[in-house]
Amino acid sequence: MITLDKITKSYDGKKKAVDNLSLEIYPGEIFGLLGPNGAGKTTCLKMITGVLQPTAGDILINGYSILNQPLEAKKQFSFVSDDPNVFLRFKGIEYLKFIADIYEIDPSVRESRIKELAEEFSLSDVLNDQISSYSHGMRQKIVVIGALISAPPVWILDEPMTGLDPRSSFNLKNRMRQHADANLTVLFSTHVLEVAEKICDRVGIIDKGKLIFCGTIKEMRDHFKENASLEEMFLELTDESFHLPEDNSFLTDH
Amino acid sequence: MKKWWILTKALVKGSDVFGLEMKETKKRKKLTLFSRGLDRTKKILLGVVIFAYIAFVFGINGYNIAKQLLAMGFDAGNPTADPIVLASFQASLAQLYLPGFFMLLGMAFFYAAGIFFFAEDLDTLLALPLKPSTIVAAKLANLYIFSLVIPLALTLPAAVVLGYMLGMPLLYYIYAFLTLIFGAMIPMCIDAILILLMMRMAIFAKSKDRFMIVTQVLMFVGIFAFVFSNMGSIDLDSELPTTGPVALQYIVPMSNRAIEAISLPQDPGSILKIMSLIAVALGLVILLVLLSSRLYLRAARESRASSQAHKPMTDKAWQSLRQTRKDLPNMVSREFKILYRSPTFLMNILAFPIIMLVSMFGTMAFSFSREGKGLATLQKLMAATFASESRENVIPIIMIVVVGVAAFLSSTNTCMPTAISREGRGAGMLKSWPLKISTVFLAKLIVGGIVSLLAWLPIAILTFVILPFSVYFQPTLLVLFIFLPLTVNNLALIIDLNKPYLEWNSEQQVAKQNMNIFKTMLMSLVVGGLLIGAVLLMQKLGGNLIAILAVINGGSILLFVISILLLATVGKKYYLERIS
Repeated sequence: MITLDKITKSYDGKKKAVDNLSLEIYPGEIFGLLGPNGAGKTTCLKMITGVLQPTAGDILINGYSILNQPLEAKKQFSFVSDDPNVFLRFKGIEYLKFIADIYEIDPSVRESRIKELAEEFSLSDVLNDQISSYSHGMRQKIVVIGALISAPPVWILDEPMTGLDPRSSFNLKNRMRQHADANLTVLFSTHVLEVAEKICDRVGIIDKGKLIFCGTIKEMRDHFKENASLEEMFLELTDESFHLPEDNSFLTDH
Repeated sequence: MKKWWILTKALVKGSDVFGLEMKETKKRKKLTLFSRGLDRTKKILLGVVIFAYIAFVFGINGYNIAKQLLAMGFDAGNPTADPIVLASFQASLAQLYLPGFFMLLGMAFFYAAGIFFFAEDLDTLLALPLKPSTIVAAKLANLYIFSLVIPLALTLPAAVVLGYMLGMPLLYYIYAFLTLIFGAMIPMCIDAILILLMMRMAIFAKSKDRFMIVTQVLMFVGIFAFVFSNMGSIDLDSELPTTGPVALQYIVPMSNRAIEAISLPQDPGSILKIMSLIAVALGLVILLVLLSSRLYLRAARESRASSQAHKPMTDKAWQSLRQTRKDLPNMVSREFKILYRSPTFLMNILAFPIIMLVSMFGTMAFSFSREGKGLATLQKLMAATFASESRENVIPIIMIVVVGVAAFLSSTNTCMPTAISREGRGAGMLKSWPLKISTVFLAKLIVGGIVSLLAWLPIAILTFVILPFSVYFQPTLLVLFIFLPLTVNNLALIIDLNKPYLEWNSEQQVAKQNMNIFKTMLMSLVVGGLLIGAVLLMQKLGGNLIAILAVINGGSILLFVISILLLATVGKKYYLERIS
C-alpha cells in the first residue's frame, strides 16, 4: 500500500511541481497515473521512490515512511525509471546480479527467476553482452526484468511500456495483473490511455501538480458522459481549450 | 565555412568545460548559457579568481627569471650585447613555453581520441549533410579551444610579466602571443593525425575500443620516448645555455626559431621566423583537414559498426549468480566496471599518471644514462643540495610542496570530481535502492582513493628513494601522502554533489569538459596552501622542527577529518536535495 499525505514539491520556492497531493493506493490494485507532459507524474514517482525529497508532506510504503525509514521503505518496492539508459557498461547478467545483490534475493532462486524472465522478454541470447550494445527496447526490457526479479510487494513503474515490442508489452501487462491479483500493489504512469483503460483498476489524473481526478474508469465515465472514451474524458479534464467536436465519429470510426 | 562555424559553436556549447551548459530554464522561457549552476556574476568572479591565481603562480616564474636576467646585465635596448645573457634569455623563454606545450602534447592526444573516436555525437554528425572536412574542421576547432587553455594558462602570464620587467617592446608581446597560439596547433595536429590514422587501423581490430586504448598508450609512450631521446642528445657541455630552445623544438618544430624572434623582436629577420612557425602550423591544419576526407569518414563509420554476434551465456556466467555480495563490495565493483570499461574514463584516469611516469622517470633516465650515471649519483646530488644548514627549515615546506603536487595530480584524474556526474540521468536510481548513503559515498571514495594512489604513487616512490629525508621525516611524509589526496577526494565528492553535471550526452563531456574538475584542482591547491601557510606561520613564530612536524601531521589529519565531517553533513544534504 502506498500513502501520499499532502505532498508538495517546489523547486524554487514558488512554482509547485506537485501541490498538496494526497492519495492512497491499495494492495490488490493496479493504479495508473495519467497526465499531460510536465504535469508532475515523474516528480511524484521520484518522491515516492526517495529520489526526490518532498518540500512538504510524507509518503508511506506499506507503513514505512520514505523520509524517516528510507531503507525499510525501499525494500518494499522496485522501480523502473523513465530512462533505461543506465548501466551501459554492465553486461545484462551483471546488472541483474547487481540488482539481486542489492535486494538480497536468495541465490537459490535467482537463476530460475532470471531465466524465466529473460525467456519471457526474449533477452536470453544477449544477457552476456554489454547493455551499451542493446537497442532502446532491449534496455527497457533489462530494466523491467531488474525490477521484476526482486519481486517486492510494490511495483512502481514510470512509463514501463515505452519501447517494448507488443509481445513484451503484453507479458508485462499480464505480470502486472498477476501481481495485483496476488493482493500486491502496482503503481505506474503512462501516456497510453488505451493501456490505462484496459488494465487499471483505478486511475489518477494529475495536471499542473494537482490531482484533478482519482477513481475507477467507471466513476470517470459516470462523472462525464456515459459513452465517452478515456481519451475524450482525459482531454476535457486536462485541456481547457479542448471541446469535443459535434461530429466525433472520426475518433471511433477507424 | 558557414556550416563549419555553426557546427563548431554547437560542439563547444554542447560541452561544459566552463560550466556554461546549454539548458532550458525551469521557466521554459528561453535558452541561456548560464541557466545551470552558478549565475553569470559568480561564474565571471570564479573565472577571474582562477585566472588571477594561475597568473599569480606562473607570473612569479616570469618575475624570478626577469630578476636573474637583470642581475646578469640584460639590456632590452641591446639584447645581443652579451651572447651568454641572450642565450640565457632564450633558454628562459623556452622554459616558459616548455611546460605548456609539453602538457599539450600529452593531453591533446587524449582529447583528440575523445573528440574524434570516443565521442558519442558521431552517429548524429555522420547522418547530417556535412562534408567530412567540415566535421573534422569543427571538431579540430573544438579540440583547439580546449587544448589552448593549458599553454595559455601556464605560459602567457609569465611571458607577459617577463616582458614587462625587462622592458621589452610591443613586438615581443605580439610574437610571444603568436608563438603561443600557432605553436599550440602543431602538437595538437600531430596528435590528431595520429589518432585518425589509429582510427583507420582500428577498423581491422576485433575490439576497436581496446585497440584504441592500447595503441594510444603505446603511441603516447613512443612520442615521449622520441622527444626525450632527442633531448638526451643535447650538448650540455656547451658554454651557452641552449637546452631550452633545443628541447622545445622536438615538441613544436620551428619553435626554436620563434624563441629567437621573441628574444630579438626588433631584428628584421624575426618576422620571417615567426611566419615560418605560423606556416608550419597552418600547413598541418590544412593537411589534417584534407586528410580527413580520406581517413575520417570511413574510419568513423566503420568504428561505429559493432559485431552482431552475441556471446552465449555460459554455465560459469549462470553460476556467478549464486555468489552473493554485500552492499559495499557490490557498489565498489559497480564503480570499477563503470570506470575501466569506459575508454574515455580509463584514458583520462591513466593520462596523468602516465605523463608523470614518462616525464619524471623518462627525463631522469635519459639524462643520467647518457652521462653513464645511476641512481646513486642522483641521490648524492640531492644529498648535497639538502646538506645546507637551513635544510631543517626547508624540508617541511618541500615535503608539503611535493605532496601538494601529488594531491593536485590525484585531483586531475577525473575519478572523484565526476563521481556523481558520471551517473548521468540515471543518478536518481542510486537513491531508489535500499542502500545507506554512507555505502554509496564510501564505494565511490574507495575507488577514487585507489585511482589517486595510482596517480601519485610514482611521485611517492621517487620522493622516498631520491630525497634524503631522515627517518624522522618519513612518517610525516607517509601521513601527508595518505591524508592529503584523500582529503582532496572527499572535497571533490562534495563539489560534485553540489553541482553534478548529469545532463551529458557523451562520456567525453563529463570526463573532460566538466567544471567540477577545475574546481577540484583549485581546491587541491587550497588544501596544500593551507598546510604550507601553517608551516610558514610556525616558522615565523619560531617553532622548532618537532612543532612544525606536529603541525604538518596534525594539520593534514585535521583537514581530512574536517572533509569527512563536511561530507557527512553538507555532502549528504546535497545528495538528498540535488540528485534526481
